[in-house]
Amino acid sequence: MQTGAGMTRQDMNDQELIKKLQSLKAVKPDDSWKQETRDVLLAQISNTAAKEVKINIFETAAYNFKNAFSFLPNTAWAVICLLVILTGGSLGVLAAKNSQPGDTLYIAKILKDKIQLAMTLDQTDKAKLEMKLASAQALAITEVLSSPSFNAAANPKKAAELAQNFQQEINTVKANYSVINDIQKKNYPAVAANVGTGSAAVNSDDTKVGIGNLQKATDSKVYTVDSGRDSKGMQVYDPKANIKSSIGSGATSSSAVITALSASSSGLGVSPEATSSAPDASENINNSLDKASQSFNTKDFSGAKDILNQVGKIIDNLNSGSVKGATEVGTSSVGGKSDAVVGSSSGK
Amino acid sequence: MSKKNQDKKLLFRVKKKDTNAFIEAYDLYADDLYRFVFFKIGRSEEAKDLTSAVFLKVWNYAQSRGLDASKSLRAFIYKTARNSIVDYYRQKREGEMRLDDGENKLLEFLADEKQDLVKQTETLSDMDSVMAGLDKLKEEYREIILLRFIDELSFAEIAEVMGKSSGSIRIQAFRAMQALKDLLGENK
Repeated sequence: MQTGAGMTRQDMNDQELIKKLQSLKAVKPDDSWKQETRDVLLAQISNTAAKEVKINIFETAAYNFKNAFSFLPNTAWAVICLLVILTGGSLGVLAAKNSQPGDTLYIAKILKDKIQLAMTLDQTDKAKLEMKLASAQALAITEVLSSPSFNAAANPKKAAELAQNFQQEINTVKANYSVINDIQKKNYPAVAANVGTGSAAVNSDDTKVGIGNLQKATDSKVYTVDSGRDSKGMQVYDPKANIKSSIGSGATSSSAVITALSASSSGLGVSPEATSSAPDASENINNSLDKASQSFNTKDFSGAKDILNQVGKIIDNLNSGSVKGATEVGTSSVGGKSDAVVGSSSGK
Repeated sequence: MSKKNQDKKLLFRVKKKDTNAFIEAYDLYADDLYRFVFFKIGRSEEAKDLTSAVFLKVWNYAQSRGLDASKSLRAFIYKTARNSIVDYYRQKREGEMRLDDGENKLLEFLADEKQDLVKQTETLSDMDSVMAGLDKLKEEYREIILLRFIDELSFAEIAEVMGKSSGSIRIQAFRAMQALKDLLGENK
């Protein structure tokens, strides 16, 4: 067994062996050669280098960031990126929720609305949603213009753009309301046919459909366009008290009810008692919207806002009424009149 | 800054063709690279020539093709050195050279005036014994021991140099150490 320079197998362990191997680090080139080579290399590479290197701050930041987390595998990076995108998107949508026309995030709100519309497949539901969104946007525009912080004189371009958008939204509401009416007329031709006859029996299934929906509509206050009542031509009408007496009574009084209720109905509010003189349901909505437009154009923004608020409520009732109607009459936009159920059960 | 982070930063800058970064890399790796080349070919002057040629090759490659595929500048330099040594052998047509041929050259490295005589003797003794064992190892094992335990490259870097997986390199390193221990034990 040797000692000193050599070690026996038993005495040799990894640490000692590594220490011996490390002694080979003493093998180095001489400093003069190293310096000379450095100078030559620098001269050579300086000739081949194109121009001054500029590494911008973003590249450095991206490099430092990636380097800090270089232990993460690529799949982890993919998951992190996905989470960041989803979180950022969600926060953006939340932030955009209360944004107003003209705000930076308003475009995000518009996009969200468009996505929502695209995901609605049913034609009637789509039309109702579009009505609701357009009405809300029109209201938002009037709120912006009526806000004391907005100076129309200083921002004529923006004011003109908002006015144009307002009109577009009003037209959208009208167009979609017309679409809904058309669909309902198509789905309920018998009910639609009763319009103007005033002769349908109260107890028929079709009339019950009509009654049921009339009763549903009484849950909300109804606005009619009745010029002369007040300066804005609006009145609050509560038909609940008159609903039973109006049915079976003379056409005159019921038509008034129907007129009022039609303004809040989904187009199903075509009642058998309706006479040919009763105005079309969509006419009332259209008239309301025209009034709103008029007020808007005459810079009566608060008046326009009030009208639009009520139109919005009508539209909300429209949406909720059609859902109930779908359950109880089993039709909504897809069923047929044969599915009509006793409407009185819905009159709660 | 750790050596690994320093290397990453230099790689990032060299990719951007920063000459100062490349010279910094030279200052950092010239000694290790020279040692690696010397232990492979056994001749001091030729090891110096080869070392300077390797650095210039690395720079030219970075200029022409970029270093996008590389994760470590040091590993890339060693890989280039390895390939250059193969070319060197082909040119010389002498096959693999034994470390014995370069053994006497060890004295040159210890001629530094700052080293005292005792330390020189101790160092030479350790080096002598280890080199005897290394000389008898198969080439692959010797290379792994040089890279891992002398130049202290990581397993990932060695894997990049040798074109193998990290796991395979770990196993090879263990086996190389065992083989060297056996040889050193037998020698004594």
